[in-house]
Amino acid sequence: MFLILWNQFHESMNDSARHHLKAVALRLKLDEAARKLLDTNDTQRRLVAVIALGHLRDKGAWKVVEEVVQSRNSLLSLAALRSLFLIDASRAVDVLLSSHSARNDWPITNLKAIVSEADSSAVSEELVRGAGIAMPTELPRLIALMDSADENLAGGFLRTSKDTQVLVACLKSRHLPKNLGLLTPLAKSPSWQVRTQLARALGSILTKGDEHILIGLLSDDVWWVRFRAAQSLTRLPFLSNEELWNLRSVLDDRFAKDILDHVVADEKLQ
Amino acid sequence: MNLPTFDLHFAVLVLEWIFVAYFLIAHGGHILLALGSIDGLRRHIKSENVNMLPPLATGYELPFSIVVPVSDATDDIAQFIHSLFNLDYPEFEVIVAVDGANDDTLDRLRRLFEMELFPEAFWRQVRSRSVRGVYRSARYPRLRVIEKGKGGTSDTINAGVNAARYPILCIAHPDCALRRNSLRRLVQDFIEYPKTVAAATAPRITSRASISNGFIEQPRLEGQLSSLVHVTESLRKEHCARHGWATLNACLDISDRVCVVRRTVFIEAGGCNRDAVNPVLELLQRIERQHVASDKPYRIAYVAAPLVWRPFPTTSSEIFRSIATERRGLSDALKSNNDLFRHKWTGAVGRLAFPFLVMTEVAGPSIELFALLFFLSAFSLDLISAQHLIAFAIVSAGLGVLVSWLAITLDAIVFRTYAGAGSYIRLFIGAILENLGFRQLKALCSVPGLPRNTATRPAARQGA
Repeated sequence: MFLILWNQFHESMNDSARHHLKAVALRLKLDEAARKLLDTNDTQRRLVAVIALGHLRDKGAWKVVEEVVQSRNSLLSLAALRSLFLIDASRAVDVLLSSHSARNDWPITNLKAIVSEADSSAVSEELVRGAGIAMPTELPRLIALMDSADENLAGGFLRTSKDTQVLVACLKSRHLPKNLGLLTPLAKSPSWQVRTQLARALGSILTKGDEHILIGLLSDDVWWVRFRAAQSLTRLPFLSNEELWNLRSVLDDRFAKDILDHVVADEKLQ
Repeated sequence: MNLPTFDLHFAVLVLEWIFVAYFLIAHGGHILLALGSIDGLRRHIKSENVNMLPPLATGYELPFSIVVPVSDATDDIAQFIHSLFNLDYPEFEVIVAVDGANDDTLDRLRRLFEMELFPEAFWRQVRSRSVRGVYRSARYPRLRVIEKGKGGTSDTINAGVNAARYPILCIAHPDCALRRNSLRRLVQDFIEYPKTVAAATAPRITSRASISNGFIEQPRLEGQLSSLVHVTESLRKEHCARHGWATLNACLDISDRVCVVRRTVFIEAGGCNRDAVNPVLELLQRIERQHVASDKPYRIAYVAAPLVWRPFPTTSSEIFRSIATERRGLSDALKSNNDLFRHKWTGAVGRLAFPFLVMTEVAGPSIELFALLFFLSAFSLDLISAQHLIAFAIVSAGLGVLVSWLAITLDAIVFRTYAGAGSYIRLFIGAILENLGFRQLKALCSVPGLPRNTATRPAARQGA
């Protein structure tokens, strides 16, 4: 129970307070208590222990925490991976690279949160290296994790890859190339997930005169593509409400008009 | 030529053994199921302290769409919606689907939640009747109210799901009260075991007075004797059947009041069936059947902890009507998904759970009633001795009481659903009464074709 509260305090405090909290924990030998808890079969206790060992940056516990990463319980394994990243981020990337292909149960958003919490320079170098030798099936998740990867890498994949997951991951990348010649052909991608991500990504990179790409996507067969296209269109900084209204009045497609009405009303509500 | 002579005593003896065997299998099965769930209960006790504290790992929660089908005028609907807003969960939306309201439900909701007609571009992924309007409120951004043509509960759920945006659906009926942390507990299995496609929990029963503003305060046992017996029965079902079956990933009999399912799985399954008596139960069984048939790994989790509450039925006739409706819903769902039994590789769900449920829950009431009539008439005709009659009473009622006591004991040790030893003493007495009268009455009202059962049909169709 004390360890749970200690974890809670640690999560909610700033760095200097955490330093003092760690000193208290070491004086009370909480690291030893946590290692003992890891030996039990109880998932909740092991979860508490693994989180605490991560907060304590306990390098001596690396081996036992690494074993927990292999647990079939997704929550426990993710918590152990996070602890490894807190203990030593550059070593933890190796564990991530060797395990992630077998762990489809690890949500990419959680992996991103874990990676972003760590020292980014050490991690991104390792991830780029990993992407160079990764199997095609492993690429999407690695690309998604490489927020700081350069535009050339994402651009290369956008040009050559046909894989939905790889394309989606590239389109979600923070450093998406602003080359419309590279992106526009994706509006005809057979994958609705790719078209949806494209519609979303275009919202932040389109310039005046290019909005026709989004207008085309308003008539897509899939609701989510239309929805994201309408959202991006309404958020374009150079498109005034009047211009948007004029644009709506010339639309022939009923679904395009409906989704635009929906999103405009949605924006007003918010 | 000698014709074989009909030996009446031999026939009576055979029938006696058949009935005794039935009760031994039924009660013995329930005891085994209760014992099978002990490991899960042990884990619950261990994790209870941890669950009382703030969540251990935040940021892993999957967003929820709570779909509330409203078929009839419900006084508590506004309270129920307010209680949903106060749930302890980071991201969720509430979709209230009103089924062809011919009362003032919709007007009340519009007034209370300051809702305006919204030009929603509706996305029809599963079949449902036309939507007349979608209402949203600037003050309550999480809430959307859908008005649609009259089409029954399943149609209303489908319409609500069509409006849902999040990956996890929670179908919740407004006659329940949810505990504040219920979503967190229900989503846990989806996070920890990605092959989980659905999770269910059964509502515990409490007095109406203990539900305030849509939340449960202190669960209390009140009301008439029949309500007490009803609680005993629901605890037996909970701890001596559902939880045990869920341990084997073979839970076919769940409560439809609150159920969580992945949105993609709901849509792939084709949504709720409009002809089903209990649409949610039928859907979950269909999901199991489809996964078994396509050999896809799946898991349907069952949360035995008390997360959801329902008030006591107010009258005896209401109790019997709900029992009959429940049974009809189960029979209908099992009939629609009988491939589970016929398929070659169905494992525990088809080989054990399906035949056991058919025997004990579908055919059970008729068998029990017939057994009782048989033993009483055979004794009055001097075809069996008093010892045989007593032996039958011990096997049928005695073992039944034992099973109920086991369920109550497990509940008292693990969950402490009701406060105070007095509540549990009353339940122990209720268990005796349940097996000496109520169960037989229940069997009578569950036999197909009898007036009480037939009278429930229209209500069951609407899936109240």
